[in-house]
Amino acid sequence: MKEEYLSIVEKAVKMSKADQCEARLSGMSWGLTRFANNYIHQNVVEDNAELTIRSVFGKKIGKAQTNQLDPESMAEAVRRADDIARVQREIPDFVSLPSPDPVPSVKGFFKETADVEPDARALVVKAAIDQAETMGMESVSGTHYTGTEEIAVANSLGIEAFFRGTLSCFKINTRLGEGTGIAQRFSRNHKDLNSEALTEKACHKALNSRKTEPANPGSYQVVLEEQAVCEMLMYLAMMTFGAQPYLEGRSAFSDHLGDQVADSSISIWDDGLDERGFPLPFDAEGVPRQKVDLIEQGIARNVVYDSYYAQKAGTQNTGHAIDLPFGTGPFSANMFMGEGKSSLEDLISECKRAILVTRFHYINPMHRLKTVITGMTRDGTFLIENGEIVKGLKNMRFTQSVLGALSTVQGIGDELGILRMEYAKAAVCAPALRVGEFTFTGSTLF
Amino acid sequence: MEDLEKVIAVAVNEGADYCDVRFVVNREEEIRVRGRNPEKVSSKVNQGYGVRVLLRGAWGFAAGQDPEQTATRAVKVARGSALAKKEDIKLSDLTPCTGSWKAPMKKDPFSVPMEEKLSLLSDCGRALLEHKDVKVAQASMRTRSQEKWFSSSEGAKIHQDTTFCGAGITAIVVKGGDVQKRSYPTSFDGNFSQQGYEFVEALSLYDHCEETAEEAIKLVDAETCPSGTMDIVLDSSQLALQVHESCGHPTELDRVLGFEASYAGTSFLTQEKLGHYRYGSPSVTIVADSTTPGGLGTFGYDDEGVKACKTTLVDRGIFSGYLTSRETAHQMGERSNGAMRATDFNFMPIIRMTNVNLMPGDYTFEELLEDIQEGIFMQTNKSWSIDDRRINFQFGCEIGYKIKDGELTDVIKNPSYTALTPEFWGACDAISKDWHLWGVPNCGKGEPSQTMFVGHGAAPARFRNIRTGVG
Repeated sequence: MKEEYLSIVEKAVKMSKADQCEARLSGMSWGLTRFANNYIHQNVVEDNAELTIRSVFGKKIGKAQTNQLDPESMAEAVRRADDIARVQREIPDFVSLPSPDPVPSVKGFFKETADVEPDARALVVKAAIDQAETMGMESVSGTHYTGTEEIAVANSLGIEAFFRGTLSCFKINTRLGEGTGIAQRFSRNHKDLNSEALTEKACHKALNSRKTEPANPGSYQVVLEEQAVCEMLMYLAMMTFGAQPYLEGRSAFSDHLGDQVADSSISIWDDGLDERGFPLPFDAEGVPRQKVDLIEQGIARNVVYDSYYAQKAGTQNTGHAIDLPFGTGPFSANMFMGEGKSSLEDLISECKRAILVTRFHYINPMHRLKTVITGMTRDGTFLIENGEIVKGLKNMRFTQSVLGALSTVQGIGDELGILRMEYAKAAVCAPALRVGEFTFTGSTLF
Repeated sequence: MEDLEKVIAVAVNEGADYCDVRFVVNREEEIRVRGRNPEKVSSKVNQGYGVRVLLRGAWGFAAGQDPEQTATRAVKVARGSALAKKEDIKLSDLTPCTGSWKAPMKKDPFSVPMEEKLSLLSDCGRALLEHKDVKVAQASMRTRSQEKWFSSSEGAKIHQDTTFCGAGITAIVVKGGDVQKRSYPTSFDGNFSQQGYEFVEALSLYDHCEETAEEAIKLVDAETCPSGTMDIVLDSSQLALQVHESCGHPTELDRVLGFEASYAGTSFLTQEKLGHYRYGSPSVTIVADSTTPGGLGTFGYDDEGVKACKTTLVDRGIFSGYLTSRETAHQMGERSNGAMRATDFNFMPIIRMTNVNLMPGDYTFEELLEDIQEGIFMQTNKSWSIDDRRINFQFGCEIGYKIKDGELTDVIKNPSYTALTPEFWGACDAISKDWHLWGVPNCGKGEPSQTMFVGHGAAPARFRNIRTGVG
């Protein structure tokens, strides 16, 4: 596999007539089994690999992609990239494609995960549905996927990088009356998923929230479970941690590196080598991913860079290039928030009156510079009184600054949850948090 | 088409009771300018086979480059699905279609020289940056064509060829601890249409740079949107997204039946409400129409081979229809109205919006304003969020104007509003006749996530007593 992938990208680089050329081959072979209403309603497998060519003439850059890997199609794609680059305008800040640096190795491939067949996924799903039905659930839905991803990058300056990893996820959503519950886990090793424990957790959530009452909007103490914190951090990363918004003055970190932006108990960093997340040792340009402290003990420390923004800012490339169909600049794709010492039960038990949030839904930024986002709670929102969960609540809308919330953190959970966005190949690991002030601005009917 | 027949033969030989196959060839070009410089200029071509089979009442889908191997894999996947089925999946009746469809186009956007397109966008970037307070200038253009062959074991044979293109500009001002932006013709990369390059030319991007930059600059010093309850008027581009989120998604029958419960969510428009539930005021009629000329949701046939058609979703305020597939329509005892779409060869079709259009009223824009004593006119979406049954929503817009005694007055920044869907549409008492079609190329749904291209026609409309200025 490694030889085959590297051979393709090296051939492509050699085909180019440009001053510099980069070729990246991203492949994915996976199966995703989706269930709803207690049966499998979608079940898909896909094999695909896309070759991306970046050609450089001086300061002019062109890019072309194809998923046809025969020599003629590859040559045609290289020609397209070269042709685009020739008619391009110069990018004055562009200096060069990146030069090679040693890429560390990381374990991200598990053969047994790569070998999971559709029958095996279906049996895991069937067992979870049976378990949830036994626990009295009226409706069970979710997703179970397994597969492999491959990425090879080569450039004319000598970069040559290859990674093959596996991926897996089990997510289950259960409903009983008005109550819904969710539990999910993502891992490079499908043996970490533990669908039985996740199913039990989702069922308990639904059981406990089958009757809900409305709560008034306002500022509350909250306990945010791991998934809710991961979702919030993904948006914080998008708004704040990339060099593009930072350099353009659109990030809360612009002109504020070194400032206290969160409670001193909060540390957030990006580490592509940490095997607790979704390790991937190099970025879309084949540059080794550096560990980057983003917030250290509440102080804004750094943002992440790719080769273009590092050259533009005259700083070190941290290896955070991504390649999405829209221009976002570099992205912190392997984020961690440091865990604390409290169990979730401890976090709840220390609340006099608070709201427990399992997860959020449909978050969107309202004011990026202030890191204000809005969204809904979902799949288990509860009122806590005197350290006990006393009842389920109807889902609520929040409108809240993320850094504002992180500035009032009162307790940190001792376990990391994980959220993976397959589309962006990004993951975040974070613990549960008890937050002193969190603003709810509305509620819904369920 | 011979390949496709072989695929079907392989699937049926291996036990499939039903099979359909799509061979899809895509071509895409994306040009982005940031500031005065190109940020991304790329060209993409890809192709492949997507094979869907029904075997012993269970679905299997496979995508790949080898047609016969892909068929074999789809059958294998369906055998897996059958291990966890409750009842056999059944499809509504369909008379198999044979035909072809091509979106009309005057000037092939791929034939326009790259230099010309880049020159237009670079000129826009420069023009926006001539205003010293504009920190970031963005100009982008995107063109995509998709040629698709479809065959089914029932005998359908369809060829379709579609192309859409579009463009937009954005000015971002960073000043005094605030960031404000203004876009033309709308946010998130502009407007898109299934037309040729004549559509991009008609946008006259360069001519709108001055106004766009000036409005962005004005916003920084503008008053913040007042918090309260008041009458609002929304422009047609914001209403396009409002219709998308609060009518389009909740009328997708797969959501209603729970198929999306674990991801995007379900819907408040449950089946017992069909035909009598008051969704909005009598002014509100919303139609799903996959024949709207130029719409991003316009086609000849959907990805199950169902012919394009028009379905009324809300009829003078009464909830009256769903977007359906053959599987979901069968559960309703009906025939599919052709809303099954897949973004690409490697995705299984799911129910998607086509062109979900708010029908125009007979007011002029001035008439919408004239009896509002105090209110806000909001333009161009900036932020959106809605709950998983599509009831509670909150939208932010790029720019607002105070309405005082029937006239637009001061600019306000960060305009936002929030409401519950049926109350909101129930508060709509007037719709303008200035109907405009918007192309939305970034509708996300499903797992694996599919980004679909949909259309929304809308006209400015007035809503009474809406909560504004949230957050």
